[in-house]
Amino acid sequence: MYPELSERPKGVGVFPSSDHFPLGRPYGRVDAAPGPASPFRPFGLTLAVPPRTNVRFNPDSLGYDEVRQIGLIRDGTAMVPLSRHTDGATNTQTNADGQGGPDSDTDHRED
Amino acid sequence: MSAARPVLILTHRFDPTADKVVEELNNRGVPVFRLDTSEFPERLSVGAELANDHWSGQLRTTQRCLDLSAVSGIYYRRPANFAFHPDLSENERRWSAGEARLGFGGLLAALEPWLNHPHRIGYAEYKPAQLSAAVASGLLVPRTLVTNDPDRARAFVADVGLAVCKAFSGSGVYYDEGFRQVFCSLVGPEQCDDPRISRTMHLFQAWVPKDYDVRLTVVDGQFFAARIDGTSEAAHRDWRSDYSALSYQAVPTPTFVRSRVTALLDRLGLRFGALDFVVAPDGEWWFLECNPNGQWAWIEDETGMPIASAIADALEGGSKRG
Repeated sequence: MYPELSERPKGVGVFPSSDHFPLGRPYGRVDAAPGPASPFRPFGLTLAVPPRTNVRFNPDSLGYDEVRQIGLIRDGTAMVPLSRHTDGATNTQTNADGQGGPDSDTDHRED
Repeated sequence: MSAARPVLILTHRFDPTADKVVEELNNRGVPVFRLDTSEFPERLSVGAELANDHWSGQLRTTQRCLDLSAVSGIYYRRPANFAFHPDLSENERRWSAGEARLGFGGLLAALEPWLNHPHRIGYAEYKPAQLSAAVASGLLVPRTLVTNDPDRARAFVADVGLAVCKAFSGSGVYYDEGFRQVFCSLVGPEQCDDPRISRTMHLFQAWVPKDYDVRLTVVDGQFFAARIDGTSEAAHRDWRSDYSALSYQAVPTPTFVRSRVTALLDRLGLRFGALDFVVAPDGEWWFLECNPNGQWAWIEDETGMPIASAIADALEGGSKRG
């Protein structure tokens, strides 16, 4: 018989049940507070660079149309559909962020 | 009153990609129930009873009610974590989250048909799984090594001549100096002497000489291929790293690619996929990755290809596959 652990292991398993129903952060939140780069960081992170385009919506400029069920964004004095809003450079903030799955913010362009 | 069956869309409120599908369905007069799972449990009421081999019941918000047995399609986009009563303790919140995931998440998972089913998304996100499935489907895949062994990495990179190191996911890290992301980086054998390769898994892949990139979006057998040309060095290496230096053009998908991609998506159980290819100077299409919940709206904006309409078709039509 195995002894009872006084404290359950922390963290997730190799195949967490969350993979079966992946849920992300509420819009605008990030997982962790920024921290310094460790000299022991994995090799892959030594190759990390700032994204050249990383547009973020200002949460204060966002709204939601409960009838049409679409996001809105302030454009001057008007609220306009988020999907048709242009940022002048890439048209919409709908670029590739799928690889991070639902845990990634929609305005990150990650895949 | 509309005779169309409702579509359930799972995503948060500020998802412009999902908005395109919602607007398409609105224009068609199809009832939409857009739900962010963060509305559960405080702003969403759920009740379902097992009726023979399926679940019958409703989801209710203050605005809408959805009859679960009437749904014609479920679109899994970017639903957020459940949000529990703020006065719960951390332990109580953790327990509640587990129950919600298995109970509410389990109820949703038992419904059909999905585009894509979250279980299938979860599985297909594993690059080693999708790369071997791609080879089994007849697609060309660059030589690939996954390892945390610097010696293996060095030998592999030396052998293939020119190699890249890339991340398994698109997530990044928040450092004090800002957000940092790992794109596709060229590496030489000497870099692989770095003992920090041992600190986690790394993916090394032979560099394929490139004429241009293709982002191929597939929706229920409809193919939307966008040629992507990068005009900066960074964009040529990895188009995700420099969106300002890209041009797009709709191109046909070769028949041999269609049949193999169809086989791959069947293997992975996906009805939707956003796949990345490198097209070599000899015209060969080399598979890089399949994003089972990848973005596509900016491709529609840049090329005019009707992807939102195809997704709306799929959600209205209700394919048999879950």
